[in-house]
Amino acid sequence: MLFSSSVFLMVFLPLTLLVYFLIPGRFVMARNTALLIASLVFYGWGEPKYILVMLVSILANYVLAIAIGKFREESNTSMARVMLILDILVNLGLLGFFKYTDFIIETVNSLSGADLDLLGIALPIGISFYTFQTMSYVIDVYRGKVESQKNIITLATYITLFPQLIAGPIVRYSDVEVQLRNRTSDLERITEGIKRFVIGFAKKVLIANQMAVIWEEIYAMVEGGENPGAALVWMGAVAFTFQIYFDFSGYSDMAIGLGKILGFDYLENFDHPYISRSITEFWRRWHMSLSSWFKEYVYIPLGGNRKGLPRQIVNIFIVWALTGLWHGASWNFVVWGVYYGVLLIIEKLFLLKLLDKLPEKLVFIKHVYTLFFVILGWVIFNITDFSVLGKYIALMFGAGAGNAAVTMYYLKSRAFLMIVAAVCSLPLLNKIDELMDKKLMFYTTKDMVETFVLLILFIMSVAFLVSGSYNPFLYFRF
Amino acid sequence: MAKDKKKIVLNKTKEGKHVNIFLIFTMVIVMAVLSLGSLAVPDREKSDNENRFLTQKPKFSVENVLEGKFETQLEDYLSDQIIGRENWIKIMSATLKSVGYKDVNGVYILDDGRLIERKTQSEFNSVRFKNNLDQIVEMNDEVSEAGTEVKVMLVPTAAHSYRDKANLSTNFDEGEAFTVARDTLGDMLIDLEDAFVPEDNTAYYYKTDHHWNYSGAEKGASVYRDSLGLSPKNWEAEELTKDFKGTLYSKVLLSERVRDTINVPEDSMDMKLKVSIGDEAYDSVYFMDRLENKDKYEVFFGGNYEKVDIVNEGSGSKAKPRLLIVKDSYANSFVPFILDDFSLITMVDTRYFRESVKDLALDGEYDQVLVLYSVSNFSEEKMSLNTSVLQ
Repeated sequence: MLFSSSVFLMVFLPLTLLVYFLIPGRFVMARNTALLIASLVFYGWGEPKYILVMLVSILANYVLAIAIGKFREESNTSMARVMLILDILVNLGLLGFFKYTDFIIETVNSLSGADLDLLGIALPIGISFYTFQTMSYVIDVYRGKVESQKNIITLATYITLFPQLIAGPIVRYSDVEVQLRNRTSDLERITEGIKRFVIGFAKKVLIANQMAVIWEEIYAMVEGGENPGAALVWMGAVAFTFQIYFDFSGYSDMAIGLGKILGFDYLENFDHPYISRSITEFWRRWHMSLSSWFKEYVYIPLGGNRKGLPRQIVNIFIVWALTGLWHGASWNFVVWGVYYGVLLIIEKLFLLKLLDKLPEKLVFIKHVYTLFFVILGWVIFNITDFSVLGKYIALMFGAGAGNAAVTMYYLKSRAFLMIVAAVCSLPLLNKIDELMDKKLMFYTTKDMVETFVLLILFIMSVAFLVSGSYNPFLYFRF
Repeated sequence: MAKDKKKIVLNKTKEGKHVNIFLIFTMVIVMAVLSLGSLAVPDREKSDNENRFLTQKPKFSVENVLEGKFETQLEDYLSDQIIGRENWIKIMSATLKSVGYKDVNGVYILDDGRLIERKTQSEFNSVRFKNNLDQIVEMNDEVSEAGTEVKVMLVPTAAHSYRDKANLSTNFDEGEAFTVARDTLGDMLIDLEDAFVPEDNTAYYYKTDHHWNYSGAEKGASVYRDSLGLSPKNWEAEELTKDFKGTLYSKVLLSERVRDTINVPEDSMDMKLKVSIGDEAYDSVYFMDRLENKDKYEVFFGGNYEKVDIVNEGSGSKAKPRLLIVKDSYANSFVPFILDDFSLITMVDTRYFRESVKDLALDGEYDQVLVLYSVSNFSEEKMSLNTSVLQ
């Protein structure tokens, strides 16, 4: 089930919250059970068979984590290690089977000229998110950071919790361990949660979905062999740049908001990435739960930067190739990952130092530089077909004015919304909050203004949702 | 004092520890209205404004759930039966229009309120378009040998007709489509491309509907009669209604004040006709009761059918030729102009007619076959002119 669907908004969410809050807060186990059942319904909606995959994953991780914990207690590190390896094999095995089998077959076919049949396995939604989430738990048990969870309902609630299940953020077990056992959904959290949810919902439905249409239309021209001209091709790339940010961070906002309403505090996942002044900074602000996962569970165990520069460069490449591949079983994602690996190494070697020497007045150069590579990166990310990708990039830097009338049409008709999107990418909310605090004497005035604005946003979002406007799901490859 | 108060407010909000009871209260109410309200309002079968049937409650069964059918239908059901459905669409259109969008939901909104269907290059199915043309050529090979003449009229879309009057450049390349049609059909094609570029202020299309209007159909009829070698004719317009809001209006629900007039040729009103649709027979091509409905274009024949036979029972009509029209809904308002030129007009709609059109043309001893479609519909039709789809 998707957040941006009528079923979620009109049936699932009201019903789940009703049941959840009818159970008194002191019965955390009962609340967890209700959440678990709701989450399984949420997950299996439309594709019930994948609940089985989920249950297998839960059971295996539950048993293996307890075993690891037990061996650790007995100081039997080698057995603990064996169990950990077994667990990682199970998790990566499931992920690999569902996500990468056809990709491998295709690659083998194209390299060897063999004609092996594809298996046509449909990817269980969100599998990359919950596999990583679960692995963080088991690895942390192995490292002694957390204790293994003996209560399977609690563990299953953690793994399946619907707010972050299908599009992140990747929540670490250690971050919610306490709240799984004992949490309060107070009115402060509910206030904060509603705000975040409505803002995220509006980001997804009002901005991301409209940007998606702009991108799709321009992409279709290029794919169909037309030359829309460099201006339009860039406009398409920028539209996708906004789409993926407002879609992804919108989903995260909705997840964080729903978590808050239920009494969970998730870490932030996006921090206005498009204001970054370097690629390094961009990746500190973009999908933070994923980059920190890779840092903690891949980069550092590989030796990180502690084994000399050559080794560090190799490590960066490994991490970024994997990061790319995590986003989808297709070679363009690998190229996209390695592209960032290269950029980050260049920055590490000398570019960051060079950029830092720029006087404050010329800070726009840093922004232009960062955005240029980010936008180009999204084009690589978004076009799976290499021949179209080549064409698209060539057109971005090629000559040819395209059709001036078409360009004018898009500028007149779509540019304003893109400017709105650009403005909304800036960290304005805190500024507005501070401004309101300064100008408005009383809470009540501010509360009413806030309520009014959020209500309008929510009503507009529902309107776009039920009117059947374009509503794609970006993470079906993740 | 005032200064202190400000400080307290600032500190409180910064920690995020603040309860906005208005917000919580409002959202609970809104969610309740959305779900309970939609549940309480009785389900509607049809949306008159949108001119389509609405999704009904899905049947719950284990099988349906496992296959995902139940889930898909429930999603459509909820958005179709949501409380105040049409108002939500209006909010969406108005929002997009207010941020500068010149098209909403596949419809261009011109400055004067005229609505024009939008079809981009990727939405235009050029393969189907060409395939349909080829089928006509194939049909003609046999039919023409039997002495029946085949002609084709493709009506340009409103967007193509208005291409010099407004920036509708994101539409598909219809000039190219006409070139393909010309090359494939040769003499069979009655070329309407240039005829529908408005020279003065004549509008050939309704302002709120995708069909051609009286002037458009009249133009089509003149050109068609000319191709048959008939002497030119002037028609008098008779007004049926001034209050028509068509399919394009339904898609955006904006331009409230813009309405269309439906005119018909006066002489078609009192002709002696026998119109057979299925087992029913009527004495007119007009279904006046449809003027009470939302989609008033249905005044022509009451809609579209598999097959309609119109027998001209006027004096001296026996000697006139027989015409078979393979058509979409554009023909419905076109036929009234040529009723008196034929003894029998048969209309078949390829969306519903499952038998071989070619066999019908041969067996029915028709003198003329006219394929009449809008370019847009023609590119969407999956035609099967030369074989029966019936098993």
